[in-house]
Amino acid sequence: MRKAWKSVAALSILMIISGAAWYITRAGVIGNKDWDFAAYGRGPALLITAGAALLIANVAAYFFLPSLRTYGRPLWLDLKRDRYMYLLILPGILVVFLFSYLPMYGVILAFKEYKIKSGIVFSQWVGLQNFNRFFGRSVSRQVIGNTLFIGVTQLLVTFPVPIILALLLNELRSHKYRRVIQSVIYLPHFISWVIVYTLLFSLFSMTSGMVSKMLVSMGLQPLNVLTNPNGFYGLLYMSSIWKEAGWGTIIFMAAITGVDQQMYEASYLDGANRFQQCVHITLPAIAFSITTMLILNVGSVMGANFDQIMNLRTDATKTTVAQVIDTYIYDMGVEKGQYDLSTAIGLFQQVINCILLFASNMVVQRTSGEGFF
Amino acid sequence: MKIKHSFGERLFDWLNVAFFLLTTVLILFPFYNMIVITLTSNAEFMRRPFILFPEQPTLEAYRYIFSTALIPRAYMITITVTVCGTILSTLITSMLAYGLSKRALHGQKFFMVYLLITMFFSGGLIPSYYNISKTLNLGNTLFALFLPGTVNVFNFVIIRSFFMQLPASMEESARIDGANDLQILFRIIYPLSIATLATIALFVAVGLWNSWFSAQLYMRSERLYPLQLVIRNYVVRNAKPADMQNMEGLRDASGMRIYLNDSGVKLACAVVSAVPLLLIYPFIQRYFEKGVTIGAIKG
Repeated sequence: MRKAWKSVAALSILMIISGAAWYITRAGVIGNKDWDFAAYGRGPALLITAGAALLIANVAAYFFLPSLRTYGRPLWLDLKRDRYMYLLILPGILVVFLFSYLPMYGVILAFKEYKIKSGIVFSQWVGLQNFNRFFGRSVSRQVIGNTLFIGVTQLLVTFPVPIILALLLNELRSHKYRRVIQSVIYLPHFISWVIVYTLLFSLFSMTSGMVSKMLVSMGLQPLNVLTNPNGFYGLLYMSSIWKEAGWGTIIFMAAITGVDQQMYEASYLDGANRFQQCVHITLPAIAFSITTMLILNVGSVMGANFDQIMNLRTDATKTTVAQVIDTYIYDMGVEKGQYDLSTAIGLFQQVINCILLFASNMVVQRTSGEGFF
Repeated sequence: MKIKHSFGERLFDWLNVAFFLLTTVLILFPFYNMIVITLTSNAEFMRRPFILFPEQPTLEAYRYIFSTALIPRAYMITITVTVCGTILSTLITSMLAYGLSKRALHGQKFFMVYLLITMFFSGGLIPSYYNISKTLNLGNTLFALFLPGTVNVFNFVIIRSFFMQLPASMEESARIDGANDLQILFRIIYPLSIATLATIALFVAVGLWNSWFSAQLYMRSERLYPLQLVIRNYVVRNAKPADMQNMEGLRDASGMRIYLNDSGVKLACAVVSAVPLLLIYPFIQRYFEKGVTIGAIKG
């Protein structure tokens, strides 16, 4: 008897969903494309009403019949007691629904051909046509290749830098000096990529950049940093390091501060020099943080730097070396209005991201015993 | 304990100090260079390749950008969005976190899953764009800039775990004294968590201040562009804003043509957008640092 309400609830919800699906299939999907209720709506409406009635009766029984509940106390008393709690979480739940759940049905665009006048719901189903269009073009290989290449190489190049910085910071003897240095190297993290580009522009602009002007005044060619396709990846790595490496030291510095100072003293008495102390005491102390951060970064290897690329790419690079999945989705979808194609690409990217994220979380769970989600 | 340093160690120490000095210069010099260019007159900027100190510092670039309608308006938009978004986000996220920090609440598990799912799945760029601009019809309103990001699940997790480690005894004694959940949250929990909430609010504020992408997506009218988007269009995409087209024809009181330092004007926009942060940064820096370690989550 106590479990029965669950089966009844499941049955009634199933009735509602299948009624809705019936109506949508007949009205929207199979060619008809408009909500002619008189023609298609009677049967489904009956089913939905029956399901809803059953659900309401079931919930009412659950609320008011104490015998259905484990502690013999009707649920509505609990809900009344916690009414302010529900009031507190209501706005947040609502916002998440509006901006995270409501758009989700739009994913069906990936399998449709979008027509503005028909909207998402009434556009024609076309199966996998959008995916075939994307993967059939040579640009798909280039875009996916660029995304993976940038993600992996940027991780390899930039990941060790904060660790080395943290180890070196730890070796600074003056704590005051260390505090000052830390304040300075955290700063670029808070500057937007727009401003980072502006800083690069003030230094490397071919006509008015400080470095270019100095090279010209010395009789040399100005360096083409900003619009050079060959140097684009270097620009990405360097600007990432400049902006984020200092900030990345925080997590490692926190781990280093936790090391027992007596270990250093003991190792000194045993004759270890500072390099040996660093390798045998400090590094093992932060090894856990290193693996965790590495795995987390691997999880976001596909498209973690949209903002950066959007601001550093130029006309010379935007269709070649700088075109990654994220920017391609933006160019195709928002600039060219091909909603269906870019939704399909976005879905493909999201599936890959999800797999990576789950996998990396699972590895963290294995190594540390608790995951992040 | 007295430790004797060998020559190699002292050499390393000096090199280390020098290395970090160099790092500091590499980080701070671009800012300094940018500010110097904005203070340089056009003639001097053309003449000298490397300017450490302008010979005759001038504020004309700043005077010019604040004389246009564009920059003050964009500034107001940015401030409005940042203030509203920060307050709303911190309030709603912390209320949500408090409600869901109680395991006894019916449906708590369901709502947790409901929130965590959004970390893995979303509609993607185009469905969200369609949702906000067509379904909800928020295009070309400032709501589109701060409402969608109101509940950040990472911040939610941090605040919630902070609430969960607060001692339950205070809440219980308040409850015995007759306080309801709202009174407990606003009179007891919030005063205890000002430091944590302030840290979260700072991160939210920096994110909103620096954001340009949602404005590019949803703002059709240039009158609603925030500062970052104005700078992006002007500097990154090199399109001079309509409000600055009069730059070529500027004349002073006696009718003489004024030649503004073009780079200086561009960079002045960036300076005014970065200055508020640079000014308050030294005072709030330790909060940022704390923010990363409280949740042990990447900031």
